[in-house]
Amino acid sequence: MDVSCGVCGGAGCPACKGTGWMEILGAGMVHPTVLENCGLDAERFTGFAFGMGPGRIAMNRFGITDIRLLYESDMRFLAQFAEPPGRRAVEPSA
Amino acid sequence: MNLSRRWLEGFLRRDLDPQDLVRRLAMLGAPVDAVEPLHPGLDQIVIGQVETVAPHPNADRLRVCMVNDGQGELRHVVCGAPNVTAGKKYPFARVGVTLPGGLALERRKIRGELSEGMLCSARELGLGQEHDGILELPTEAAPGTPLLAVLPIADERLVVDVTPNRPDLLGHKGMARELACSFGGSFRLPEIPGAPASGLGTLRRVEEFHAVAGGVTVGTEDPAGCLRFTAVVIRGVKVGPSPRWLAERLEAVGARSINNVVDATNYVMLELNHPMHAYDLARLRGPAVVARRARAGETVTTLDGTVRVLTADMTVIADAERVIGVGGVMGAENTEVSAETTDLVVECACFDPARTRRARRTLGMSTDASYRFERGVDLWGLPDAQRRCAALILATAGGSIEDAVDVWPEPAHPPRVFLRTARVAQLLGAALPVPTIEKYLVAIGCTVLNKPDDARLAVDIPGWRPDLRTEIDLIEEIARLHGYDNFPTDLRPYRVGRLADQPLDQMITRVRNGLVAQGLHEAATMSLGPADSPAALKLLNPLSSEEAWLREALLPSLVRGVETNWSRRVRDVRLFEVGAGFARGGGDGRPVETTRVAAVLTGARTPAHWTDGGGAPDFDLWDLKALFEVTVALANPLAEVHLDVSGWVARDTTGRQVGHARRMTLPPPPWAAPVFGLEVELSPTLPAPVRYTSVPTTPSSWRDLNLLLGPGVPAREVIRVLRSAGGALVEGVEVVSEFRSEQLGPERRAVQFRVTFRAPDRTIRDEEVDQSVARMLKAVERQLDAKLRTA
Repeated sequence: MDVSCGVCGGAGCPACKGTGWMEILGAGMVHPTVLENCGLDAERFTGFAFGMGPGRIAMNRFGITDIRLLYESDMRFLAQFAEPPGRRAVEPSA
Repeated sequence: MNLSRRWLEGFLRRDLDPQDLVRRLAMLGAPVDAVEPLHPGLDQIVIGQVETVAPHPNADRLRVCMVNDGQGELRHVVCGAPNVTAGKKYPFARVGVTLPGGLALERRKIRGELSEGMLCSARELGLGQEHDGILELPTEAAPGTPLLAVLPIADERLVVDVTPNRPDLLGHKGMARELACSFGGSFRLPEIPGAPASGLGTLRRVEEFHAVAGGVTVGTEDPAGCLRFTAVVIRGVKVGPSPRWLAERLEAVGARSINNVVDATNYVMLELNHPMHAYDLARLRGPAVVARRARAGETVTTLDGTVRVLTADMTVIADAERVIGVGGVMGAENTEVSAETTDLVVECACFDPARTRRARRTLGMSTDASYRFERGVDLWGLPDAQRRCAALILATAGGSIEDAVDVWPEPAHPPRVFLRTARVAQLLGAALPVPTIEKYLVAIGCTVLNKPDDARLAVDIPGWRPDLRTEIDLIEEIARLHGYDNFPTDLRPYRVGRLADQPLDQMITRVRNGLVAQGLHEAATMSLGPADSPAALKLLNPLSSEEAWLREALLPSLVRGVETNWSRRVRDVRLFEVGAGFARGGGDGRPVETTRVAAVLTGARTPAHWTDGGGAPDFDLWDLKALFEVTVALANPLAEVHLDVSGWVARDTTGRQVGHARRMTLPPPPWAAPVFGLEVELSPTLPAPVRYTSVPTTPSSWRDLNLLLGPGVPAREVIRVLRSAGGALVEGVEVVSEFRSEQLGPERRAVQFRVTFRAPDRTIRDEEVDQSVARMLKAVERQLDAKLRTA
């Protein structure tokens, strides 16, 4: 499932590879065989499946341009998300 | 898969806009990765008419031409081409134009004669390899007309991302079929210029392993590896360069034009997704062309000039004596079509996907043919491919068809699937009319038989769609062709869940909020990385050799986070992470997964403030201890903190170690500070909620005991002894002060404990307190050799 890119607002940028769209999750209907393997009657039940990763959603919400920033533990990055806003336990020195 | 926009236009008989194609193909499930305009830089080239040709005064091979480029004044052009002729028209590049090869034209003198532009050859325009002379244009168009208006060569190459389940999309015909569904129109094969009206008719079907066609023995002796084998014998061909339109088609999708016969087989592969091969009949021993198992150790020199050693599980094509091709992968040099070839055997066969993949991997060569056979070609489409290829060869190389056979030892019918129309409505949530369903299925090539008696459709699946196997596949196909955005949208009733989170999830939230309140920042690191210890679990099939192990603990990756910050000159770091650690020892060889929290501290304890007089102090071991106690209380409330040789540990009620805290050993850079780290396993049980106990109504009394403690006696131990000896009246014991001096002796200290006494139901009496203190002093002296410090 794609949503319009929250970094560039759909205009195209490196985060969305210039397409204006960003894939944030895989989604679809559950294959009947999967339901049967889970012991459900696939003739009666159908299902939706979503595979969400918080990374892409965070990128969109906060305008993060590079997904690697989320996993680097850089204090100058993490401190921007302090709660309550503006409260910095340690002022990053650079 | 590379597509040519013009090739598709030939199928769909309409003008196509590349951007529109990108959108349509994306909606059909074949996203376009790139659109590459072909022949860029030709829009500046115009038609130039040569009015006069005169010899160059200073050079034998050059001529001076006067060229009319439609701008009134004739241009003075020096030309070296042998074929330049007055009155004819050629592509002309004016001064200021940059040719596709990068040459920028300017006004200059060539051997003393002025030249204002250039008459161009096909190669100079990037239109082919011909460089015999400049490109003559047999056109009525006026001088100055753009070249692209005369030569219909403007094209775009679309690079499409085709999923492995859709082999039919590896040919232009399959893509045209999809686009015809999208446009709601029809499509048909483009006509081949110069093809004879009566081409190859029906192939002679032989349900045995061999047949003889035109004196050539053909067939398959290995029906498991080569299911069906068709061969056409064509005699009297003239091998030569392909006509321009054919070469352009191939070059548009990135294939190289070789000669008219080879190009014909490649054209059919790119159009119908059937790899084919042409053999030089004169070079066949036997003559025979037969698919069989390879013999172990047999060798063959493939068309790329490499000697290949074969294994017994490969299917090969052989003549009476030797291997002439690796089945489904590549032909051999020994029977290659060359300029001298006059008679051909054209093969179109169907090779087993798994066998082809194994052969390709063993030989370490991937070809356009193996790529297609691995994904599955249309077993029922071989005769059509032969007919198309024969028409192309007759049109471009001449010759006549002598014989055509279709060796199919075990013929089969395309699979049939039953589709319940009610099931379509149930799964898609929209009742599509039966004629609409039929229309979609017919558009992708299915044969549909309506059986109204039991509300089912009998659907015969076309051979080019191996992905359609069961009813659900057809329903998915109907949804795709209907368009996912054409289904009605609605909001379903939704009620927020009222069930509490799992206790462990509640613990995680509690730990997160607690450590954020301590001023730490939450990090997220990867659960894969370098091995934490020799016991770390290694992945069977890691994506990268560095990130091949499951982490046992979180602290190492947080320490790496500190190093990352240091590498960016960030000195003050306080991080925590909640996540999973993995250890050996689960059932069935599976790892045990524990939820853990880890934290690291380094650098300034607080932000700089003017009251600090130039910098806050750095974190020390006692900050670590305080944070460890808080973390243990949050994450594993029943565990207790104990002193340990390396720092502190936490043990749960059974004595098992559930956490540790210590100064990390990694040396900080000179400008940074030591690193302290801790890690605690989360308890899966939440602490019991607080129960109120009544606030005391009676007064309390306290005494200070100044005790002399020997080396290695922790205050904690003293408190434990004081409490147990003091009896029920002791309400609390605290350390008030500590004193060390040389007079006390090495490692000895005087610690002042304040003991509070209270009786819940009455005012406590001095005698009771005195008796209790006496018991305490006796106990600490006996158990810990601690005495009251006097004077």
